[in-house]
Amino acid sequence: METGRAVRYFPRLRAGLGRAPGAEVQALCVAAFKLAVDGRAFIEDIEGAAEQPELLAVLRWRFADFLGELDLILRGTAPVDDWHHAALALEYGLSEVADLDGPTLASCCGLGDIGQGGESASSILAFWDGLLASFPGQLPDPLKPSGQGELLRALRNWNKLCVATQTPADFLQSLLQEV
Amino acid sequence: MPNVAGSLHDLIGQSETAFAKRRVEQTVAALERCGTSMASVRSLFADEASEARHLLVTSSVSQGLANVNSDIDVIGITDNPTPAVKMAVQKFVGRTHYEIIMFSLDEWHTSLAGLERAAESPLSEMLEAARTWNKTYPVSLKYLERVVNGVDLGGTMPYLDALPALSVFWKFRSFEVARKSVLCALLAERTGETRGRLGYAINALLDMMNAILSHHGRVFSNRKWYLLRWRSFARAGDCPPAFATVAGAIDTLFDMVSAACRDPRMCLDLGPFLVPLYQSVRDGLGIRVCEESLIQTVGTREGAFLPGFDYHRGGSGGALLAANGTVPASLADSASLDPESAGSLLRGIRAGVYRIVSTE
Repeated sequence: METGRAVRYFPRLRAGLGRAPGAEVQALCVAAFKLAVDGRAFIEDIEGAAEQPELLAVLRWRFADFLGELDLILRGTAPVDDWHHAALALEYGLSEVADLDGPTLASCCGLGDIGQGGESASSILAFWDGLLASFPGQLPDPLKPSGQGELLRALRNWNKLCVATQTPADFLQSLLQEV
Repeated sequence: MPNVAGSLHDLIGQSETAFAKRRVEQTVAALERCGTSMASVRSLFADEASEARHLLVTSSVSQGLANVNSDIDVIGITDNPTPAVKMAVQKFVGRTHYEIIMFSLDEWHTSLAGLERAAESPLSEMLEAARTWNKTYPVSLKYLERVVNGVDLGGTMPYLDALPALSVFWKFRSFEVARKSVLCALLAERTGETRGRLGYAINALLDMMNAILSHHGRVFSNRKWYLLRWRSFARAGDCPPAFATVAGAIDTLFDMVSAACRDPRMCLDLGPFLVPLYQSVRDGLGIRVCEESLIQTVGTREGAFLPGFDYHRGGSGGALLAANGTVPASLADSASLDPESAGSLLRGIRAGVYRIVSTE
């Protein structure tokens, strides 16, 4: 990854800068769910695409979309239509998932790499490893047999957390239905 | 008004039998690469198979796109009622991940009727049906495509008859996303967003590809496959001569945008390429869309903020917009907006103050 410096993942969470519990609990649970379910599925797809450069080229963009959406969720902004995610992330960078400007994000994701013989996705995989290692707690892995139970246990914990913080928990049902 | 009249043969450029035979062969081969077979899948889902009239192998496996990490996704269609809240059941055999979801025949018929109605509707109604589809119909958009393209474990494609309606529906949905992305790429360019414009341009190009593929009966719901399918379509000689020029222009621009992504110093001027390409795709697909009613204001101006800027509340948030910003009369006009108006419009679109409208 050509960032020129170590990437600082989840800087606000690391710094301990919180927000009002309701919005924060929802943002953290949604982000964790998306990392565990969507993020792991992207990485599985990327690892399987070594022989399909056109697939890998689009997955790079889809991963940038994913990071852009995740960043907005953790920022607590109003949602935008999904076709804005990569464009916003490229133009304005990421601030919550990692402290990255747009060109560095493009480099991390290998955006624009297609059919030049350098189809390795090592920069994305390294970025992903950093994300997983830095996110608070062990994320479930629903792509493994034991991961289904882990995900359900996490959802039960989040439901209790919502009750404790008086956060409406209906978003958890929506998450499940999106899978 | 869109028209789904015409035979399946005309749509896919070959007989239904030949099309289905090729898909079945692809499915058998893909399952074999994954170390399994039609019979093994049936055995794995023996409980579901006992009550289902069809077990359909779907997505990448049934379209000849599967790789070593592909999941094997199955849909069951049963005569019996199924739970209203759908949850796919996961199974793991070695490294292979299987998933099955069940729909009742009634749910399928309700959704199919909705699809056929939408595909015959005026453009704006069809797009509204697409926007609200997953809250209205029991078979979501993702599974709608998978059922139609699904290969039954008995070696048939039982719902292929719905492909003409699905193709029309998918073509217009993709065209709309392409149209929105073209507009936002132009606005981003006018307001000086150097990298964001590239993200919109890639979206626009991928959806132009998908609209053309759908127009020829090649429908797939997962965006990740668009480029691979597009290039395979051309390589296989399936792209008709009438689309050759526009297909070449899409590929050229895709490569230009990709190169600009690799070089942060490069600032690509998209307007001269994107606008004529959009118009060629629109005309090639025979899509009639009113370019003069482009933007609808759906938010409300709440009041002045500071001189030059007002605060507007939108459907998904709020934004500070130029007090005297202008709205372009057409998509082509947006390429010559002043930077302040372009930025204001782009922010308003993101915040849901403005909506990009597609009507005939």
